[in-house]
Amino acid sequence: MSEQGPMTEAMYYILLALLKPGHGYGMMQRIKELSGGRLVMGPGTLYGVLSRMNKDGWIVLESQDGRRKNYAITDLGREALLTEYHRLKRLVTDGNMLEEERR
Amino acid sequence: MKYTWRIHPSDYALGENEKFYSDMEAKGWRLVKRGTRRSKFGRVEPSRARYRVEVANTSFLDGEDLPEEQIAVYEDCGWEYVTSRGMLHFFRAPAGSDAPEFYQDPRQQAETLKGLRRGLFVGLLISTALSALLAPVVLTFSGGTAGFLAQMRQMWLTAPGLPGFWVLMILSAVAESIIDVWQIGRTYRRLKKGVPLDHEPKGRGVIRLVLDHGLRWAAYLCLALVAAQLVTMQRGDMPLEPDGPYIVLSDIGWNGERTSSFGNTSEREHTRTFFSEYWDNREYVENPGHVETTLYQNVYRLSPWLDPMDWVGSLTVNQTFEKSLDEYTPVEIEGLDAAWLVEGGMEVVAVKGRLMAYITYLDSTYSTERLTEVLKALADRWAVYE
Repeated sequence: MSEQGPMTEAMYYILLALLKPGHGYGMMQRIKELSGGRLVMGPGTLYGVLSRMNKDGWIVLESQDGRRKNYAITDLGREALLTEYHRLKRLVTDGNMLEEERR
Repeated sequence: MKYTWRIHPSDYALGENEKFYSDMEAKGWRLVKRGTRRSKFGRVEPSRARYRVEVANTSFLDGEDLPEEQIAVYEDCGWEYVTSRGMLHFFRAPAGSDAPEFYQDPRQQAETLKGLRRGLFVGLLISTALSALLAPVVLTFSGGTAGFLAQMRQMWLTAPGLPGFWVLMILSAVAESIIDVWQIGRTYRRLKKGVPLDHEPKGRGVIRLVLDHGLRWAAYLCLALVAAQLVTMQRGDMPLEPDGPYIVLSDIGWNGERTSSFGNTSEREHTRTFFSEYWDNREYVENPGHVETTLYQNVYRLSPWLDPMDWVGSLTVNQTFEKSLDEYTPVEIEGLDAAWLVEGGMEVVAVKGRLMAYITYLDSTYSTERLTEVLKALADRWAVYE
């Protein structure tokens, strides 16, 4: 995964939400929770990203309940999420000097 | 329920369509169904509902339909799926609903337009290529460019609605295709740059309205003119005595019985347009010892603002034999402004004042003198119409 580029915010939060399998609307609610209400994801964004990640093998269809499909993160998706997490963490660490400057 | 139909904005004016349906609901008309050009609305209490258009993303999907799952997600968020037309899918959020916008990032919405944009552009290229291939075929069957233009000129005189209809329909189709490609391309580029879709755009300009609907309605008007012309056209047996600026075979001494040729009888057709009054006659008279004597006449009385000398050249272009007036011999006939005949042939052309005629005379002698007689008889007849 060393060649993986930065994820969009939507991708990152959807993968985070899918650490616990869920369907579209459930994911949106969970993303809202995870982001402390900051991120209200639109259904178009959500569906577009789900389609893309499903195609890329980062998530997988786990079950279907009527029209609703439940997705779960795959090992590949988890690895991508971790890579992105470490990248973001590194960015924050690198920016720690800002906090030190303020002190 | 009470229903009404209204013409909606063009398909790919996404924001305009959203605003149009929201405005209609504010007036108490809720979208029920979207047709090709018009939308059907049902009567409801006026309210401030939001409408949004979702385009089926053909980069992912096989067809134009949205997956059930996608619709379910939208509905869970508070959007009501109303209807669809082609790749466009219409959702509605009732007044006061906190249904989130479909996209937070315009770049994601841009992705949904990629397939449509490519499809429209390829469609425009294919139709342009087909037109370019078909044009020479049409021209060939119309006797070349000159023949085609002459046919169009003749039609302007005898049935102006027809060329008007075709020209306007072609212009309308071309304008629509170009507008579609331009519109979706512009929306795509803006979204790609991060500019959100304008859900409340200002009204369309007059030019856009004319291009979207004006050309097509003008074409339909032309078709209505053609229909009106067909209804008012007088068609019947060739009279024994002319009732217009044309001649009959008895004017040049053929007093035999009227007969028929290949199932055709002697008939007279008379029609009026904005540009001319037109007689299209055929007459067959018994000619003992020969095939019957035949007279075909196309006689025009042009409107005052048209000069027959500008139009007479187009009368011969699509005829069977001599196709150019240059191949005719000019002759001086008293009472005519200009006259031509084919020496040893069958055709004459004449002009006087606002009148002009193309006549084919056939009595199996191919006599130039006879053709001169035909022109003289026409000059006598036209003297009455001065």
